[in-house]
Amino acid sequence: MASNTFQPIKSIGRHHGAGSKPLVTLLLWISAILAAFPFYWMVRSSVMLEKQIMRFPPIWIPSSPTLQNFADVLTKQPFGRYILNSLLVALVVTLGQLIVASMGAYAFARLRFPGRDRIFLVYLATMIIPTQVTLIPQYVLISQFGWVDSYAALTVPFLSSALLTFLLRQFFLSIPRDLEDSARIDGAGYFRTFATIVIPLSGPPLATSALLAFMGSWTNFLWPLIVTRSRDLRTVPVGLAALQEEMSRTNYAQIMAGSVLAMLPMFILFLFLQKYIIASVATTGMKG
Amino acid sequence: MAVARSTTTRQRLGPAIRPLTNSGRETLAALGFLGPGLIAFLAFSLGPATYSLFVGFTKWNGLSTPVWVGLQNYVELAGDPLFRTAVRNTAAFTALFVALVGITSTGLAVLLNRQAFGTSVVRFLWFLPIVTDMVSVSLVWTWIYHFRFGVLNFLLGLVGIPPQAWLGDKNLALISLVILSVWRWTGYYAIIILAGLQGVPNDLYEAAHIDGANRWQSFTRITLPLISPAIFFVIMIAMMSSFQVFEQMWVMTRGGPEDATISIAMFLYIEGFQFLNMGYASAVAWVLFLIIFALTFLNWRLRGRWVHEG
Repeated sequence: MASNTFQPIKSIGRHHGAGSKPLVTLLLWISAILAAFPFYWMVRSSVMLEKQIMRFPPIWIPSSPTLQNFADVLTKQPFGRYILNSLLVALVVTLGQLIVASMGAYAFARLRFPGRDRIFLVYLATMIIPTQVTLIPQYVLISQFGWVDSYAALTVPFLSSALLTFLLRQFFLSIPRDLEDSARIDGAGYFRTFATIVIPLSGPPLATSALLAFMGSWTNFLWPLIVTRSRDLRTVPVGLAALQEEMSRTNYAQIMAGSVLAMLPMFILFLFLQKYIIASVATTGMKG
Repeated sequence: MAVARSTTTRQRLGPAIRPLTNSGRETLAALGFLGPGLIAFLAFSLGPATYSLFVGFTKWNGLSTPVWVGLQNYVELAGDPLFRTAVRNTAAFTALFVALVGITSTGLAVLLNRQAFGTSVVRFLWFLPIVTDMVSVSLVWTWIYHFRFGVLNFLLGLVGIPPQAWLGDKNLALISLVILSVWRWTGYYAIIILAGLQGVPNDLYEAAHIDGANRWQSFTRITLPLISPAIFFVIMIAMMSSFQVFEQMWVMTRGGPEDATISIAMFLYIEGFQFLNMGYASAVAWVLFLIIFALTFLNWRLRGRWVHEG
């Protein structure tokens, strides 16, 4: 499923395949308009007043952009809090998954212990179980811990990730053993070998894993919907859905402002880490 | 090396305390490394999965003691008209989604692979929908699909197509949700197929060109077979994820109109978390799992028929 090359895609393209170059360029840019249009429409609607966006035929470029909707949304709903919650939860989940999965992956890749391969197989098997299967017992467990409506409920259930354990194990297997052996001969214990030899060599796969964990946490909707009750614990998607629900009369200008706020942090992250995010898909996606 | 060390330890400690052998020490280290993950895995993954299988055979509201009812939940599900609607909707959604996204992502991958002007910008734009959460995206599309003020009806009006109730018409709502999903996932799957395309050696095309093949022939006889493993993989994961579809329905239609867009996952959410029929909902979860498992299995069995093994 995964390859061991966690390199970002450097050059794309060759001069072959269907279609002449001008035609390809044209089709490419038509597709780009399709990709970008909903975002344009979201931003355009967010900086216009309600009565302006309800005009038909629509105004394509707002003549006097306003930030009124953003101000309204931020006072009606603690949107800043939602974003902070999402960031906090995503950071904790990412860090937790990285630590837990990299250590587990090291055990699976390098250490011999009874039942290792069988346990690993069980890890793999759970990857095809849909999240809905574990949802109800997880929720009951969380409520028995008294964790409903707490940060613990939003983070702790995600500490173990079979996917990241699998990815990192595959990478660790590709590291030449000699490096660790020489460290072991020099008297380093298992943990020191892991922390000082293996981890520093694993930058790219760890970055890939971190991005997968972060994006997964940021876009998660169902679980936070189930375990949060109070406004103060809502994450961005849950808060956004609530904004739409709680609005007595649907005000699309404000909903679009909320959507812009919700996507802004990921947009910024993506702007800077594009190469790695795309590589994370390419590497986790392919090569059987 | 370490064997020698363990013998000396044994001699020093004497027989009273059983010393750790080399493999014992390694097992202990493994426990340290794997322990935290294993506990979390058992508590939040394997444990709940196993427990939900049991819950599926009970009546339970999540608080009282579960009452064993055997296969009753499954029997009831088989005769539940709403559940059957949910299965039908989800299957239709998946079939449409997988077919369409397979075509659009392959098309986009081929375009991106040509390295035309602005390729990196276009790739960036097609990736934006994926990093955006589904709720934001769903809200934007709800607005685009708006019957009176939606931009889609306006654009269609320009070419003479009368306005449609995209989300309000029971014959259109599911398709409208599929279109949104195709838009959101095309870039993601295109990247996977692109990775496959980049493994196609250039000289194959040159040889085909010399033999007089046109571009379409090179595409169908060379490109498609060589990227078929990537397409196979895309179909597999697209199918698995779209059978679990939930957010779009929840935000855009709430399963309506007339249950035309209720999905299995949404049915489960309503039964489990609104009516607190946890036993019934767990049975739904296992039916969902069995469907996904059966389709995955079938896919693997059919793999040899069309996937080119390199």
